[in-house]
Amino acid sequence: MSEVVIALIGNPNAGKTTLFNALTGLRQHVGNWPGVTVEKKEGEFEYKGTKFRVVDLPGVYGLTAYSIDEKIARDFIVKEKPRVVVDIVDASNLERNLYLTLQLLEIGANVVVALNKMDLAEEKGYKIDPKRLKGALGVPVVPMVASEGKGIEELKAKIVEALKRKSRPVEYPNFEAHIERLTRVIERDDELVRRYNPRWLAIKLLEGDDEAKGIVEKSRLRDDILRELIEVSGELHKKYGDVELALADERYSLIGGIAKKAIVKTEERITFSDMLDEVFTHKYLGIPIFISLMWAVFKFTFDVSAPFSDIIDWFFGWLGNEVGAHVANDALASLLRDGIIGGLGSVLVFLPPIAFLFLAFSWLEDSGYMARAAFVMDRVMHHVGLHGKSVIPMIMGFGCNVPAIMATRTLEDEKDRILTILVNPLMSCPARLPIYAVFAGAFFAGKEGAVITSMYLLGIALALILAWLFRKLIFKGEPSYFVMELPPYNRPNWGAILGNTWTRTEKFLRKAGTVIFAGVVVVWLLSVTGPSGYLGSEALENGELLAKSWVAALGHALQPLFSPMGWDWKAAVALFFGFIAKEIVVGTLGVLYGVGDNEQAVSHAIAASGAFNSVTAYAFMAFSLIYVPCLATIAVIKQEAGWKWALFAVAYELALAYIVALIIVAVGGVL
Amino acid sequence: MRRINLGQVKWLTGIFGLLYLIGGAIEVLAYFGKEIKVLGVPTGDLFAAFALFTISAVYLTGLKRAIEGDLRSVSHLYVGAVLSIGLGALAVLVMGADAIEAYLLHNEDFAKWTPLDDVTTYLVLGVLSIIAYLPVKDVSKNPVKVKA
Repeated sequence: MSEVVIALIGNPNAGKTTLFNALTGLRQHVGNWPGVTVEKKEGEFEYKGTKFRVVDLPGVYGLTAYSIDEKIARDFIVKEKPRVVVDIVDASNLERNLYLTLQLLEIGANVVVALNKMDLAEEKGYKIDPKRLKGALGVPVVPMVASEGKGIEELKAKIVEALKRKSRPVEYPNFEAHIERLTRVIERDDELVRRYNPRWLAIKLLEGDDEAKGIVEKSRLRDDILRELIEVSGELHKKYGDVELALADERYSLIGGIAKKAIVKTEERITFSDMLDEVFTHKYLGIPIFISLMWAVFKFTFDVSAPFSDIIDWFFGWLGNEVGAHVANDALASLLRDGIIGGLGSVLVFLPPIAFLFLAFSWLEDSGYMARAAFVMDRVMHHVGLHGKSVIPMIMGFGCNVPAIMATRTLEDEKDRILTILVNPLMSCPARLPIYAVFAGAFFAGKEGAVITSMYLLGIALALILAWLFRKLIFKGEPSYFVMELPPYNRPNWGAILGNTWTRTEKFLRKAGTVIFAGVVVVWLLSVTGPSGYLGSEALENGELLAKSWVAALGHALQPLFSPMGWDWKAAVALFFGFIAKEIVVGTLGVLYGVGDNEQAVSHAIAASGAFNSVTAYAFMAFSLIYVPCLATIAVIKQEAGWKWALFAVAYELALAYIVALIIVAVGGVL
Repeated sequence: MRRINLGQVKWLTGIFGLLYLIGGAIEVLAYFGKEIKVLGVPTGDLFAAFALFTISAVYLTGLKRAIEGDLRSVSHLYVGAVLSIGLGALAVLVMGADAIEAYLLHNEDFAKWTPLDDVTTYLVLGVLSIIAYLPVKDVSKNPVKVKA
């Protein structure tokens, strides 16, 4: 069966992800675009005997290639030449979305317009005639409500039809003669014609696009093209002044005409979204609502997921005992029971809370609330010297610091970007959850929700304080304001929410199966062996034996560092291994306390050990929150900001963690 | 859709604003060791108290707007009711999870657990908030027609 490549493109919040999921179902894979670590989603579907490979392009407003996302989208359409480009247009924001449509038509893409959110447009008082829009654009238009699955089949049918048609270029009446003159010269170079749309290249050259100039520089007709460009640009400059601006005006004028034809009735109404925003983005209520919702999310995450964790806990306990009982060799039995099964169980027991957290965040994102959260926090961000756009990476940090740090690429100013990267690891990612859960369970029974929420708030507070400090001391100057566009509120689309939750949870599972698992097995190995050789599996249950192990030697070497906080050598070892990934901390403690994979047992063992009290336990949680992020985060800081800032992040976080833990112990001791 | 008048909005936002204020105060008192079982079992969770005070503020801002004859008061009643019911639903989920622990997994920590232990302040208030939600339940489908 032949495979046809189609691309999905659209403005952010136009419903691209929903449509992608509706088209491809579960047949999706996520990777990175070649050369850049920006997520690339691909999926497949079959329709009427044809197999389609769907490439989900980043959400963009235009194809001017100012940002990485725009460059990716443009390069894919220009170089890969997908057979059909499905442009998802938000019907409730028709005029703004058509800007991208025109740019796609300029490139010569074979466009099918998916006119999404027709319900919202109607709610806003717009009545759009898809037939008139089709007539004005000259491309197929499919009205749809992707979140409800309306129009999906029609869209598939139009995609198949579009395979047989040729693209129609968009015409700019005031520039036609000039574009054609330049196009004729470009068309004389067969190599350029083969690789690019000459008309698009001509428009881009007139706009002064650097990439287009770069393409022409390599042409054998370089001198002819540039000579013609200088002549044509000169004429246009005399007539319009700034040619790029004039072309943008021309596009908007064309869009205005198309919208006038397509929108047959408008009536200003206060929408449902406007009503909700009245409260959610209220000057004084917005932030308390955000904090309350975060508390509700964490309550949901921990309290509701608890029985599922207990089931996993029970299963691995049973499996470990069964396997251990059937293997005669002590070392092998211990490796299987305490190392492999215990190690894996100690990590997988946190799968339910992590999946529930991702589920809650995906729901908030899908509903449109997350953008409001960013909006209400924007004012706070600006006060502490962070750019408004920093809010998104900061909130993403609650999910995982790695993509959150990559998301800082949307910040144009280098100072703002590095500042946001540096404080991002203080946003508590789910990897810290197991530590909070175990220690809160051990020392703050009945108040776990409040204690764990306080950890998240501590991270936010420190990030804001540090940002303010860094802005004053290192990145002097004022961040600029920005206007954030708020997407409309959506009814939950459970397909998209669950898909998103699975994608994120899968990453945790992969990490659990590799790095974390390996880390826990190493801890086991270092615990049952020592300078005198193999100590036996009893070392995990016998303190005297364990004290002769390699891990004890390491712990005792590190312990003086942590003695001011009152932590013992086992805590020191756990923090040391937590450098690889924070999830390993609990697994390590499980091995060191000889209770393996049982979360509650780890909690009970820590509580019973006498090594901690509520104050030193709280300090340990705070230290775990603040000190060096996981290796993957350090690697991504290095990639995005360089070695200097990666090392700086590690150094300041270690120092900060130490100071904060000491303060907690000192203040807690007085209280 | 059901028509709503500002008089109704005034009463509902006023009553629920006050109830959530009391609920928040009960949670704070429970945190400091004084348990008052008027609106269900207080959890003594300061964040729960904060959430209850926030919902109270949403309702009471709506009351202020309704007194001023401002149509936006309907938004406050709607969002207040949605947040209240959401919190109530969360309490029900927690109760369900605890029931699994007690009756299916026979977890020792839940040996003496009964569903009544999880009838929290915000569960009771969440259920009561259905009364506040009913008059505004259709605002997501149709623009509100307010009768001043």
